[in-house]
Amino acid sequence: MDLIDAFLYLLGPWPLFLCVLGTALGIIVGAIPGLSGAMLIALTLPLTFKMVPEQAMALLVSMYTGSITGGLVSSVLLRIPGTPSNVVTVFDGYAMAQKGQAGRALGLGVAASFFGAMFAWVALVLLTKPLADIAVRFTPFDYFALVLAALVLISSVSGKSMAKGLLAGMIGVLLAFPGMDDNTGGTRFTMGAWQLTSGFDILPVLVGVFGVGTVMAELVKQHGKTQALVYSSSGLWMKLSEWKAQFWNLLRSSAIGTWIGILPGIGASVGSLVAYTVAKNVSRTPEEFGNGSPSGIVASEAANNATVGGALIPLLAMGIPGSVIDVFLMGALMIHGIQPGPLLFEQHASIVYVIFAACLLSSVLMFGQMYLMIPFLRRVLDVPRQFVLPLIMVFCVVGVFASSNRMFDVWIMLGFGVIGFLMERGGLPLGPFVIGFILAPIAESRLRQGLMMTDGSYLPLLTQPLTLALMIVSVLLLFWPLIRTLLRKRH
Amino acid sequence: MDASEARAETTLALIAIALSGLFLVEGMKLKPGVFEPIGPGAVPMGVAVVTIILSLLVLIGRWRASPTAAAVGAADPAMPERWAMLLGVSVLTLVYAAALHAGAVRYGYVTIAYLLASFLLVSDRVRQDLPWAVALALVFGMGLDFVFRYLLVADLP
Repeated sequence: MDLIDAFLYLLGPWPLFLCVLGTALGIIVGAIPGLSGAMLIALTLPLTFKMVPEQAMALLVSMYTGSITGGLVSSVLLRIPGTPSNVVTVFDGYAMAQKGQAGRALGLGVAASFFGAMFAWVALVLLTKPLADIAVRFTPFDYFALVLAALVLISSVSGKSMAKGLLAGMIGVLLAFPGMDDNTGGTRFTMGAWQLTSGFDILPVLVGVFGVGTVMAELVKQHGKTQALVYSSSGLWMKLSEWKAQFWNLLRSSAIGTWIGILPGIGASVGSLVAYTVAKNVSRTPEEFGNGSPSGIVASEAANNATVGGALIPLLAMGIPGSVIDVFLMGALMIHGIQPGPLLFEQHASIVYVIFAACLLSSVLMFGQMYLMIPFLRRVLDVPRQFVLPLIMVFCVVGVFASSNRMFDVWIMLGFGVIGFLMERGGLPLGPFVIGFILAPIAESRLRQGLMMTDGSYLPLLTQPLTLALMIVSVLLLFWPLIRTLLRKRH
Repeated sequence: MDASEARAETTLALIAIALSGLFLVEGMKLKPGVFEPIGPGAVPMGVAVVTIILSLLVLIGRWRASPTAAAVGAADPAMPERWAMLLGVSVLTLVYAAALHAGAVRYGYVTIAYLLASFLLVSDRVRQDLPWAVALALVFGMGLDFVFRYLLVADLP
């Protein structure tokens, strides 16, 4: 199957229905503050067991694309970002809405989202295969250093404190160890529980942390009555003159979003923030940013959608998730017995091309559906929380049980829900936790594999060029706060 | 950061230390590998040590934080947090999971009861929400039972 075949496959009635459904659900969930694309995908994972992997990935990728864009609506109309990636959109989106330009703000956001997604799709198609070809030549030490760099990188940019980010990552790594040790065939850290022979399954952990944890966090919050602004659909379609005026901003922000997406573990929220900051710094009218600047919305939305395609590149080429949602996609592939990584092109090329095609198709669908759904989404924002939260809990329980037919996994999910809730309350970011949980087995097995090849010598960590470069990056990132303080004192 | 967030941070750091201690003890019991240099316990024990150090850093950071700094980010008194509601729903959820685990009552019925109780517990306007709560509990309870049992032909708790 090549890319054209993949498109033709997705245009069949059932796959197309899944793409339309996935994008629509993603947009709706993204628009509701407190609910996230990660949670939607976690709840959907059990339903994909009975699908063929191509259909499962089409559905999940569509949800991913939709959820990143959906948050635009509540950002503009309610001043509440639907997802963390829309935080920056609030600054100018709500200000424009207050000036009676809600339709124009939404139109700019949708068009920029579409442009960013298209830009990243081109990068996805052009870069994934060459990167996979390079990754095939990675040594076990290279892989170990890459995973280490990914963990340090996400810990350093998630949350306010690097210590907390690293701690979250290390807790995730620790909890990945119980179960069968692949190298010796024995069990370890199961504390005598035979149910843990195969370790903690991915699904109860992800659903617990993102589903149950989110419900618990939302239950505690007292939500005041939010007053949506008077909506005017005027200016919903971006004019040709606006496309021309924003062209360089669109291009630059999309490139930033794609690049940040490629960096392992960093997602859309960082992408949109960096693109916004750069757009403000190069603008001739920086004072307008935060007061309803169209350039601010364009930068933020183009970048956060570009991270979707960008983040898929390291996942498909190297098996390293580019963002938290990519951890779920990786989990979905692994559940179907497919290991993402450089050999994916050789062993499961059809999956890669379907993901490429789904990424493009869902972006086109998102563009059309957003215009159709905006009037409806304004009403969805009013759905009472008391009905949504218990329903999510029921879906978490039935979904996790259906995946393994074990109530043990439901209890594990509830336990991880408490951990997720405590982490959210205590300011420990969830991203490093799940990335650590999913990457720890890869890092450990590659390190032990490498040490077996060198008779226990750690020297290749310092002598192999790529490994050394990645180790230096990790050390620099680790000590960056200290270096920054010293540099500031010197000046 | 308000007091409850500080407590959550401290609790989590203490849990991480306890968990790491457990991994260190269990790791020491593991036999070293025959064909490989480091064996199955080395990496987890190394990670456990790093986790303990990071937890201590977080705890020290918390203790060094001035009380005024904590007060600045304190929760808005006009929007009190609903801990009793969280506790109530948590207990309901545990009872729900235990009832499903016991398997004495059909999944659909237990789910209807759970949803109804949760909707009403979370609701601020019980009387107005009651008809909606009953309708939604019935639709989702029986609907999920039907979908999983007869359409997806999957086992239910």
